[in-house]
Amino acid sequence: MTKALTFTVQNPQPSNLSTGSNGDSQSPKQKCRLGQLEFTPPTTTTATTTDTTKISLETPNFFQYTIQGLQPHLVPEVASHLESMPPAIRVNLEGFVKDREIPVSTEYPGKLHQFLGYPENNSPLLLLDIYDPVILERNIKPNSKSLGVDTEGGLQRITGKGLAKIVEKYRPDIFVLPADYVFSKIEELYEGKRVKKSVERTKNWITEYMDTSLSQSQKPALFVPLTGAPNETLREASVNFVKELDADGNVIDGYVISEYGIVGGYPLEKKLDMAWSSFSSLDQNKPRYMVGVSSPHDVVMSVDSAGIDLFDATYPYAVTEQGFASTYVFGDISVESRKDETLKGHISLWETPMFGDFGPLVPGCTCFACQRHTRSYVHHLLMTHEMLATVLLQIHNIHWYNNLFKAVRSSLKDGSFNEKKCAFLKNYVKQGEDGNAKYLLNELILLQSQTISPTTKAGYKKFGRRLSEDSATTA
Amino acid sequence: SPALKFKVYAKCSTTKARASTMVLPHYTARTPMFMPVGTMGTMKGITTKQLEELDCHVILGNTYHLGNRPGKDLLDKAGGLHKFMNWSRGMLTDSGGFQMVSLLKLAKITEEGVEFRNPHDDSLMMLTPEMSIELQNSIGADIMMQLDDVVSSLTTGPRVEEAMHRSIRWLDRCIAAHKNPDRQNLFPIVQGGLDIKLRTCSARALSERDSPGYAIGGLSGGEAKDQFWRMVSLSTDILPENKPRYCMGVGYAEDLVVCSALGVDMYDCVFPTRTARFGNALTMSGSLSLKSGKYAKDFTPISKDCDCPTCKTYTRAYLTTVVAKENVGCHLISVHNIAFQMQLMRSIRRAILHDDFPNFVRRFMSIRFGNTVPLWIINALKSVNIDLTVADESGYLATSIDSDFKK
Ligand SMILES: [Zn+2]
Ligand SMILES: [Zn+2]
Repeated sequence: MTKALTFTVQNPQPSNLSTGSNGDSQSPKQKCRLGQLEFTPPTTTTATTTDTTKISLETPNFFQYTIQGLQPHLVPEVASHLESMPPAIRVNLEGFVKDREIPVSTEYPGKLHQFLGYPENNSPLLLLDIYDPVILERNIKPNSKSLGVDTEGGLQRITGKGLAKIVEKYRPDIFVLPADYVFSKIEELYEGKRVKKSVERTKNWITEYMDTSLSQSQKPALFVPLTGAPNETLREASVNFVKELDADGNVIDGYVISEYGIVGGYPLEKKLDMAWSSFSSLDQNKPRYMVGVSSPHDVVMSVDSAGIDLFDATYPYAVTEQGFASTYVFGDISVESRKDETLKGHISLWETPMFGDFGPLVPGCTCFACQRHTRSYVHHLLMTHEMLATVLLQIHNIHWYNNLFKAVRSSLKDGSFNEKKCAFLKNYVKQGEDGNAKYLLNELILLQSQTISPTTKAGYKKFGRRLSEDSATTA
Repeated sequence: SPALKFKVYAKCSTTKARASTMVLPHYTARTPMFMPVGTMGTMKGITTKQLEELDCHVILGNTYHLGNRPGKDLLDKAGGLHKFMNWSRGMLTDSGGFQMVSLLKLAKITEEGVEFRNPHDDSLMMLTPEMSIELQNSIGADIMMQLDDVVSSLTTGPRVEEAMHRSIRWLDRCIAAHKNPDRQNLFPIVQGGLDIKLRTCSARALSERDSPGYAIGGLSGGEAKDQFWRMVSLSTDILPENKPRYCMGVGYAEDLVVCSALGVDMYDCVFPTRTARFGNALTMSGSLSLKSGKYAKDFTPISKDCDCPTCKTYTRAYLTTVVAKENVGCHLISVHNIAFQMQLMRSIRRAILHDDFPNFVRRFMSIRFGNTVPLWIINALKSVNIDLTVADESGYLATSIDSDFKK
């Protein structure tokens, strides 16, 4: 039987520059790679034509971040203005869980795709994971039998068996197996008992899931989370479990490393080294998905140092929620008309000079927002906390993010990745006074500290008031 | 008028309803029509492209708010609100007076204008008819409203008469101040409270001005519905036949149907988009509260007859999961609610065109109210020769209930 999901690694053009970013100078092995993810949807009973359309995804690429299947702020008819978006979405199960283990929406007779409004014969590749990657800290009290999900109705527990039932009903194309993520920034927690338990629990939950799902006819492709970081022994235990699980190479379709699986106070380089040490002893021909790592410099570094193929598009959402429009460029910036803005990585539409600026968000941008609206208008929408502000910004920011991945892929194809990577990191990662790297594109961190959107009343108070006085004086 | 050509193309042979085209500088609108309200030069997160696709002909902007932000200077620099928000169809602005009186408790009305305290720096300010028109000229809407002396529809006594006469004087000042009669239309507003004599006087005086269109104001402020419809009907009887009539602040489905039967052509209301924000979806038989868990297992659309993108794509169960959480859930309902209003207006126009309006009204009332219809509706429709208490060919008949509003 041929698999619905296939992945082909296409080695990129060798670059004339040595990589060796992890100090492995003995054998400078290029980890970054191009790939092709292909998915053949199962034939549906109601389909009129016999030939199903194959979904094809060039990697490195991203899953569209969604809230209940919708991009933040964008209804489908607005999202349809976006061109050549990757036909792949990430859906977070926790958005559907309320006061029972098996969500009511599983009673919908069709697949999750259709419940989310996608037509049966033209759905994106749908990946179901459990947690929303925007939330990096949680208190969800997992135990040996079940994981926890925080809902409006309080904590809800889900067992491996429960997950199997949910997946059987929802029928996603890809399911990310559960893991006991530690969800803490405190490094000590990752040593000793807690993290050891986490590897054990993950094993138990997955085993229970697998045993229950044996009887199902239509199974999704499975991505398995790698855990254990930063403890080398435990990481190895996690990898060994995956090897056992995938003894014949046909059970697991991809590997997942989650930002929240390896947090702690580590810099990204260190995390990527840990990720790579897990990947390197596993099947090289399976896709690697990094959850929760999304900002442009992190993406570029992850492609470079850990050969990551797939990401989440949470970054553009974070940029939008700040009232910013992205301006960063991967590639030659000498041609940019507003080089100063390009080097900042974003512009803030809150700022007073935007008040009378009738130019597009970014000159030359072909997105729907830039083609039809001005900085002045978006500034006005923010100042009046109107929801169209975040609609227009999200369109621009996701369009921009998509361009980043296009540029990364084409640089991998023509051998210019290394050169562009170095220039990009030089532009957007600065040396801080404390000697630590300072990341310019840090909106994801800002989103953590500010859970309110600028278009809500609370957000207006936070952002709008001080600035409104500024613009009143210029007006 | 050079900026408005109004042509009645079909008249109901039973009621006072008519269907018309209204050629405006930016768009040719069809009436009876509903105009959604986009206070700040935008409508609840919906793009102007979506508004076009939803068949909106004319949208409303609020002069008072736009004057505060982005302000007159910027609107002048932008070349008007149409360009500022990228909207190429019809637009109507209010005078700013109503907002002022309802939002600012300190407003005092004198012959000169509406006096108020600037909420930003507490200084005393004045909105005069001339200033309202100057601002509306800068906004550049196809239709502008005169500044009127607004009194609550519950007010009685000499204040109502004073306001009615003052509104006429202010109209003349507005007409004199209006700089763009070639590309913007100024509508007077019929006042006079709930007093037959005063309303008659106002409607007659305004008719003499030969304005491009007329508004019926000072209603929808909590008065009894039975008085409301009588004032509307009285006004449409006097106002010129060949000019559009706009009933301000009306937007419930039954009000739109009844007022169209009484000869009104234009409506506006914040209700459809405001109620969407709270997760309420409009249907012919009432509104659905999608925030309640009631529809968690309901895998049907909001309305199976609705052709809006939301109804074509989503079930009530899905909307329930998304509506409480994110802006985008609110957008989905807003889209439907606007589509609902537009579909209702299209079906009213179609019924008038085919001279089937009385049957349409009966069908509508049977779906919306069943066999017990509010008394005011029965009375209003009886006045234009539709008697719901007598069975028609389909066998439908209704008895009256006292309440103003049901469901
Ligand atoms: Zn753009
Ligand atoms: Zn609808």
